[in-house]
Parts: sequence; structure tokens; C-alpha cells
Amino acid sequence: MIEITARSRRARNIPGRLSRALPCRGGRCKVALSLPLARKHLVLNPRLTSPPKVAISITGACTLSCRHCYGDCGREPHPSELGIEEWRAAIAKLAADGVISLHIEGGEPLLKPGFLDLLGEASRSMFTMLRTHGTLIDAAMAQALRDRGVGRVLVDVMGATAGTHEWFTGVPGSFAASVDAVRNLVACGIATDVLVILTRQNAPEIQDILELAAGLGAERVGVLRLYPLGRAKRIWSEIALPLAEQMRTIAALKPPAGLGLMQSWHPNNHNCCWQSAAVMADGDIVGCPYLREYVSHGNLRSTSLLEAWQTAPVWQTLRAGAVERSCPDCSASEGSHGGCRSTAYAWHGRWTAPDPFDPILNDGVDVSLLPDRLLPA
Amino acid sequence: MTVWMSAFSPTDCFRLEPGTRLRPVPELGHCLAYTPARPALHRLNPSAWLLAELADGSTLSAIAAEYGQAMTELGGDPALSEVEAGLTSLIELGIIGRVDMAAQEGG
Amino acid sequence: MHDTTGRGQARLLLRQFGLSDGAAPRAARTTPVVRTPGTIPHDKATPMAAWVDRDALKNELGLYHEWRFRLPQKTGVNEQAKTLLNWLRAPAGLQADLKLPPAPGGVSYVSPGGPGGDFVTNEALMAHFFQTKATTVPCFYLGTFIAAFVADAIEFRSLFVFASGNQPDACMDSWAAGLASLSAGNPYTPVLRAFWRLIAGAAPEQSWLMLGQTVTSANFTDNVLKAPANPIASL
Repeated sequence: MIEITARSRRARNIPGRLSRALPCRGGRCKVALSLPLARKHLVLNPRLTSPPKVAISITGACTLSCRHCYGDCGREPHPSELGIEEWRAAIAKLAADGVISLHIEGGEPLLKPGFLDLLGEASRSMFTMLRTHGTLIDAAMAQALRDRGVGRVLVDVMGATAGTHEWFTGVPGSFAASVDAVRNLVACGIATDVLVILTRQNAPEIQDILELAAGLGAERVGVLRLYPLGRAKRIWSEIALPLAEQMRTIAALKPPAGLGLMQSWHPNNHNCCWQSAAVMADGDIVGCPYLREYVSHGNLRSTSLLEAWQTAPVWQTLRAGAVERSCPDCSASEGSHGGCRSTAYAWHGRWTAPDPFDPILNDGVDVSLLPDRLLPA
Repeated sequence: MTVWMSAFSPTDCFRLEPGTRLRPVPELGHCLAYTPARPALHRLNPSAWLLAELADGSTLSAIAAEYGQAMTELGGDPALSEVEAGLTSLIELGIIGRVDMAAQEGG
Repeated sequence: MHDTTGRGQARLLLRQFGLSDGAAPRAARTTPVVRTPGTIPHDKATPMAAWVDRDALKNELGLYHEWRFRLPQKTGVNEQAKTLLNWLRAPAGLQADLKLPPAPGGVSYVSPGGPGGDFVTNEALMAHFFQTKATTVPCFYLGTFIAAFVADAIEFRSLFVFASGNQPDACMDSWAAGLASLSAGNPYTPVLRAFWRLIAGAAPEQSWLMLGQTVTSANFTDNVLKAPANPIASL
């Protein structure tokens, strides 16, 4: 039981910090006047009895050959992937269990046979979001997505130029196709965002990506952190930026008028495990796609997501959010305590560790280098 | 002096738009609503959620009466304008709609 | 036996969240976020009301940290909220002295025709600061939302003041650190300090750090705004 009282707040004296008395109701109180330091927090996360939103990775098949692919995707789906009928049944069960928002990614979801019909079915009962590289979204496909009721589409790019983008994707012409996708989606009236994973190669182009996205009519750009997963691990030292450079890149961004910017660097470094539910292409329940290589809370072929949510011990631990230290400035959105659990675990090997992607919690960790425990064999 | 003009008639009826789905999230004190006709997710506070639930084909008078009763239990005394504003907001978001009584009566 | 119908659950939630007098119904379209979450637009060229995407701040699950000053209770008036509202609307100074540049997009920070001339309210001065000056100071990052929400919250039943930090101490420390980083001659400092003192001064009695809390594990026995238990899970 955690007791939070006004009196305990006033009585607290933080050692090692300058203090200055300031008047307040009920007498003098001490308030520290130094920069926010990491502090230990009793963690209080909201507890959802069931998740309202779920992310699914519907296939590991992809037409691109991205150097950094987290899923190590290939041209063909993996034999263990759930079939479209299995997904249909799973989504119906998710709806019955209270899911009202579904984020669909891959690989490239549009490669899944039967995907459009599945999307149409899902969109009847839940808000759907589709993450795609967009190269398969011509005007007709955009219209088809709209007709199936998709709520929002997120298109990945890896640069503002074909040179940078296609250095990552390995497919000539893929940049123009992705750009066209955004244009086609916007023309259809579909809410469209552009996503980019920040790397050493595209950092100088992020501002240009914002301008490009704004010019195409995208609503927002999401600048995503690079995660040491899949193929990204193998080329980490080549593509990963030191944290200071990441922060400088983000701080320098000036979104054009009307364009939203999403980013999860300080002070937006979230620990959103408490609300996250995700399923991979083979049915593995992982809580979050960024945890795909570290956890499995069960498989949809043998359990339900709700059952796993309620009983899987590691998932419950992650959702409870106990952390050793927390950044006070990053805590004010989405119940964040201690930053991303995936990168905390990746670098420190503990679920309770601080996230090194937060400058307050970084502790001198060089995130442009993989820790030994993650080095590819 | 500002005079409030009602946008509705007491016999107007309201119901959820076809396909609209309500998903309470009581742990966070609100209700989510999905409107497939115009794909969007909405967040309703408890008062708005109650109005959405009361929109089961009932008339404005009936909705206002039950809403008022619920609020009175909490020590409040909501004006009809508050109910109408709430219903208007829900209509604008496509969560509920006003039932066409003429069509209902076969006219 | 609890009424398990939708309306029964809604009424239960109303009671549980202590909405005496009832909060006006509010519904808003959400803007779903993806990893990374935290859609905080930085478009400083637009008026604040447009700049602050409230749905994005809250994300689609509606989580945010707030200090809630409840307006009229069953009896009496919330003096702290009334004081705060009156202060927000009071003049901070004359435009002739402050010389605030015109805000882009046609929104003005200046209220016309005060006794001494056109004036700038405390609320507008803070808004001007957050929109044009506060860029990288973390604690003021959310100060923007404080000003925007307070400005917009006048019609709410409660005033919402957002602060950075998942504990009241962290919120106050964060603000204090930001204030300390401002130079002595900074013209915004007095209004920011005054606002901060109002919040800090009212906090022990009237504030309620809501959400971000596991409601079943927090004990608010010393706070009149007792946190609700999870009503639906108990059914």
C-alpha cells in the first residue's frame, strides 16, 4: 500500500540538493532548486483489466530488403505464420475481449493474402491503423484501403532522398513509391502519417523529411528510436547514433506549420508497457513489438491474448512498471516510469533498469555500441 | 441578456449510430467510442458516456430526465442546455444520431 | 448487486469519480499514437490553442498527470480555483509597457481597452512565454499545456493543471528548477513564479494527482478527493 499525502511531500528533504524556503500554505516548505535528477519512485501504473488496443505483426514477408529490419523479413512468409483464417478468428476474439483499436504492421501487411478483407472485417468493430512501406499503395490500393474503413495509415521512409532511403531498403525506386503512397492516401482522405527510424545516415535529412511529409499532406511525422533487433543488430555500429547526437537532431527539428511531430526522446521517453499488447506473425504474444526477442507470454494458437494478459507473469511484471530509477520530466505522459523497457533490458539485462536513451538515466552508456550480451554470435 | 435557444424538440429521439461501439475504460475514468462510418476513436468522459448510453431511441425529455436524476444523486442540477450540448457534441462526432421520427412512423 | 448495463456502469463511474455537481459531458476525437508516443507539436508559429493538441497529449487512452482543482462542490466554492481563475484574468501589465509582438495567426495576446490602455492578462503573458520562449527547459515543456488547459478549462467543472512528474514533489521541483534557470531580469519570471506559488499553495488541500496512479494501491486518506476504487473490476 502506497501512501501519498500532502504532508509527506512537504516534509521531504532531498539530500545533496540546494534548497530554498518558499512560502506555501501551512508554513514554510523546502523545494529543491537544482536540475531534475533521477530519483527512485514508487511506481504507480494504471492497471487495465484488459487492453483496449493491440498491435499485430501480421506477416514477415516483405518486398523490401531493409538492412535494419527488426523482423529479419524476407520475400516469403515464414511457415509458422498464422493463416488469414486464424487471424480472422483471433481478431474476432480480440473484439469480444474489449479491443477497440488495432495497429497492423509486418513485414508488409499488404502481402498477406486476404488482408484487405480482414482489414474490412476488423474495421467494422475497431479503429484500424496500418503501418506499411507503401510501395504497394497506388491510387487503387489507397481507395481499397479507404473502402475497407482503415482509420489511419503510417508510411515508413528512411530518408528524404532516394539515395538515403534506398541505401536502407535495397530496392531502387522504393523511395518514389513510398512518397507516392503518402500522396495517394492523402488524396483518398485517409489520415496519413510518415514514420522514420533515426539513424546516422538519415539524421541530416530528418528536417527535410518533415518538409516532405508536410508537402504531401501527411498529418504527422513520427521519428522513431532505433532498436537493437533483427538485422539492425548486425549493422548497429554502422547506423546507430550516440545519444547526444540523437538529442541534438530531435531538438533542432522545426515542424512545418500544421504538421505534428511524434518522438519519444526526453522528455517523452515513455514506459508504455502498462498499456501495450502485441502479437507477432507466428502468434507469439509479446506485449510490444520491441520486446519480440526477449519475451513470449504465450501463443495465440494455444491461449487467448486476454488470458495471457491476466496470467503471464513477465507481462504482469512489465505492466506493473517497477523501475530502479525514473526521470521526473519524462513521467508526465502515458504513466512513464524509467523509460522504454526494451532498451533498458537490452543494455542492462534487467527489466527494472533505467533506459539509457534518456539523458537523465543514461549513466554514461554509449548507445551507439551494442552491449556484449547483444552482440551477434 | 443571453437567451438560450434549444436546438431540439422534447420529442426528438436519439440513438447510437449504426456500428458505433462503446468500450468503457473505467480504470482511466472514461469510455472510448469507435465510429466505423467515419473511422475515428473518441474519448468520452463519464457524463458523455452516460448520454451515449441513454441514447437508445429515447426522447430528449426522457434522456434529460434520467441524466438529471443521475446528476442529482451527485448533488448537481444540470441544465437542459448541458444535456443538449452533450448530445450535440456526440452527434457531431458521429457517435449518436437523431432518429427521424417521420421515417419511423412510416411517413 | 451492481447494475451491469452500460448506463449502470456509466452512472457508477460518475459516482466513483466524485463528480459532484456533475462534469459537463465532453467527447473528443482521439489521435492515436504509435511508438514513439508523445505527440507534442512544436509549431510555434500558430496560436497556442491550435498548437496544443490535447488529444495527443492525452493519447487515446486518456492518461495524463494533472492537478485537479474542483470547482463548486456540493456546498461552498473552491476558493483556490476561484483565486486562480481571477488571477489568470487579471492584468499582468500594459501592452505599452510589455510591448509583446503580435502573435502569428491573428490571435492576440492583448486585451483591448483597460483603464490604463490595452493590457495583457497573466494568462496571456504566460501563454506568450510558453509559445515563444520555452523551448528546451523540460519543466516548461508541459507548462505550455498548463497555460493552454487552464485557459481552456474555465468552462470545465474542474481546473486541470498539468505538471511534469509522477509525484507531486517531482512536479514542484521541476517547476522550481525551471524558474531558477530564468535570469533575474526576465520579464516573464514574476508571472511564472506567481502562477507556481498559486499551484503550490493550493496543492495540499485541493489538488489531486490523478491517473498515473494505480487506483487500487494508492491511499488518499489525507485528501478529501478520495481516489476511486475500480468500480467495474469489482463487479
